[in-house]
Amino acid sequence: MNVIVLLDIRQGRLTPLSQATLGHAQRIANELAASISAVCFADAPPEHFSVGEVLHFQPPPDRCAPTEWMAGAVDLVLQSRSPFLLLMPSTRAFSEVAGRLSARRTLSLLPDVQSLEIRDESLVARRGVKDGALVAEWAAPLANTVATIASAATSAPFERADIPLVQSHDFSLKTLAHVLSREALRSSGDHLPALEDAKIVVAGGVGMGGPEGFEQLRRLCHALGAALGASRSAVMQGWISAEHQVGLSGKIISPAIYIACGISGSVQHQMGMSGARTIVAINQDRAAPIFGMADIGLIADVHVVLPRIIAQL
Amino acid sequence: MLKIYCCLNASPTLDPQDAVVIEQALRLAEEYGGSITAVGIGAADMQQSLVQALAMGCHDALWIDNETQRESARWALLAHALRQQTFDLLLVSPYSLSGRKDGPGRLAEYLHLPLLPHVAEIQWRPGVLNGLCRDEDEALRMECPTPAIASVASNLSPRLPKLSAIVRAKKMPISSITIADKVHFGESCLAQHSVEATRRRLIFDHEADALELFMDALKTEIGLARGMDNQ
Repeated sequence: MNVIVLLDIRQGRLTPLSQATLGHAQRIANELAASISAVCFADAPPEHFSVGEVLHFQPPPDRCAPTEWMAGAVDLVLQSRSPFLLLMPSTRAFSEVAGRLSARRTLSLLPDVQSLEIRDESLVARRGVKDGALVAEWAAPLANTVATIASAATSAPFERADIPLVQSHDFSLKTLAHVLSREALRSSGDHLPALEDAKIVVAGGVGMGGPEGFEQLRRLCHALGAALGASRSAVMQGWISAEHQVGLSGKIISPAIYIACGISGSVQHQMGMSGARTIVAINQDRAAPIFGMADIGLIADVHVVLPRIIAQL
Repeated sequence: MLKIYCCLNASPTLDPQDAVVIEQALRLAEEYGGSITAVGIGAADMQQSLVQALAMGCHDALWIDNETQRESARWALLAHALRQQTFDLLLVSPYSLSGRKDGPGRLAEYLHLPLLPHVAEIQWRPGVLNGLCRDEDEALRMECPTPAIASVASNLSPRLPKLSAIVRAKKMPISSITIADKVHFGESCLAQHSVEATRRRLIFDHEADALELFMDALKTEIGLARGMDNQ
């Protein structure tokens, strides 16, 4: 058995979700006495990994559709490695890669996994379903299964080890779709963590009242080292840009703590954050649905209590 | 003239994200001319979603009769049915009802079609689809030949159908195809648990020291989260 882990490397570093994925891979590989191979797409392979080998590919060429290209490259790796268990972070791009590989090779797929364990010679995963009101346990065979890891909050220990064997692979593919141009979405002035990588996320809704309300949330984010999220309604109002949107039409995230400020908690929003380990809600509407799924709630006017909360942190 | 198919999630009521997909299709048809077919795979109650799609303005509806509860198999069966259809553009939601994100990639593989993922804007000229695709940290202007698939992640507000359109939609015929399960994936659901039972529900309201109690609980959680970093 070969546990293959697909890693997301940005600015030369593993993302927190990739570290969590690698942690899961280490634990599963230890239990199975299996080897770990890491697949990465980067200009240069990172120097230290606690894996046996690194299969290094250059990033997809600028004009190639990235997910189509990466699926082709990983497929090439899988051809010689059966039986395998393939783990990858549940980013948008890698989720598409997982879907493509599952379809191409009829692989079992465990998507958006919050926790993973071996039970009765099967791989058992937990994930949120149905508006976040339920958690489901799914089982799949240990061999020839792909799982996407959604939660950086449930990371297993990640230890650095000796320099692994690095194999650099040449790969080329003419993708069906191609890229004409690229534009960075993340505002450079924020200096806040990415939503999908953050352990703590602070998010605002229409209850924030306007862009100035989100400035207050930015201050709370800086105090906590948190990422900034928003409901679809706040994005639609133009108070904050779309890359901050959490929910079905935005990002689906699973941080350790999700602090919802002035968010009522529509079903679509709940599906984007129900995987959070702890949900904190601040809202003056005691009937807001968000309180139905909150671990900790404060029924209060966010504009009144936020400055006091920031002052106490 | 664009021929658009909109794939709907298997639900007895039109999923809000699918309503956005249909709104995108309607705007494309209004701009370039063309027809829209709403297509859904599921049990008989799936037809109610298709009626709602017709009420919004879709021209035709196709129901693929199959009751499988397995999402992976559902995409394979949907693709099997779509191979017998002709279209320029297949629009889907990036997410299934349960929040899964693997569907559009699966469809692209099964149908061997180009995919523009998470498109916020779409343009078309004969034979070519152009879209602004949002990845997590960048926007990619992508292009591909048609027929093609696009997963719609725009923030369009779906139009509300008029009463007369709803009445008319209920009388419109829905084509159907029956497909037997032919695909087996290895995953299976073992159990489902209520999350509410696992949430602590510490809601502070009337207490004079509500903010202080809230802060104590919040600081404990923050300490635990930061402790994970130090493991």
